[in-house]
Amino acid sequence: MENIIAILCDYTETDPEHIQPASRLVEDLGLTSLDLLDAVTAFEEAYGLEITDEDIKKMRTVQDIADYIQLHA
Amino acid sequence: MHEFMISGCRLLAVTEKLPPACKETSRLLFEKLKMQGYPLTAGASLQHCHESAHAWNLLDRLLQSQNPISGSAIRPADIVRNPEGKPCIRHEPLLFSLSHCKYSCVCLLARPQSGLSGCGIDIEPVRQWPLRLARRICTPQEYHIWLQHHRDPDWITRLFTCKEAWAKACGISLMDVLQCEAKQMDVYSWKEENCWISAAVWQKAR
Repeated sequence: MENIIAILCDYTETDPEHIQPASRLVEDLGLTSLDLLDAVTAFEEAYGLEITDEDIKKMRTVQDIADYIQLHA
Repeated sequence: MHEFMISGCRLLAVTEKLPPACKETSRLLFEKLKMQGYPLTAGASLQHCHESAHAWNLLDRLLQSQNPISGSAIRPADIVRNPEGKPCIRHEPLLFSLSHCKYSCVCLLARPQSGLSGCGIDIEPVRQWPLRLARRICTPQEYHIWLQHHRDPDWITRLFTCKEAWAKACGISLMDVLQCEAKQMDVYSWKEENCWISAAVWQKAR
């Protein structure tokens, strides 16, 4: 989770202590669609994944990303 | 102020440069707009709060002014979020869309007319695009063209704003339009300083 939050921090301009597993990517962290795509490519590179557009649509919270990575990495 | 037509629909876009982010000013502006009844959401970052508050403040000023699109006055309380979370005006006497980036915010206004059911706008500063990200936002053909253009950041930034504006106009996720060709979208684009801006409309009759 720490690594995921560290990557998200690069796109949200939010301090890590303000990012929780339940934080919503758009509403709470203020990520734009482009920020999210940018972050997803960073996750793909960090974890050797190929994340589809359909899977991105299902990612609403930080925990959703962690669950996806745990399942697919 | 930028007036233009897309597929027979008249639109008005107004951009405004943002001042440097200031925690206290942004918070006061944010709270003022919330008190007025605007459905702002508070992101965790100061930058997001700052950009969002200025974009909504621009909308507020436009709704109060007698510009050729808005016509009659619209109260902040008339602006609600639809079930998908997209802000809209109750009974839709006017369509609007907001976008913001680090440097500017922009507001798009359109009067509903026959067939027009949505409008969307996006602003992005010109930036470098890593190959992996570029491949994701382009169709294979667009990606090929971009490589032929020596990975021109201007070209692909504009392309991205077209797709984002189009998705907002259609009321769907950006992910649903990434594999559609931007050249087939009803979009009008222009550049202000170092930012590309695209506006799009969605017509039921299409």
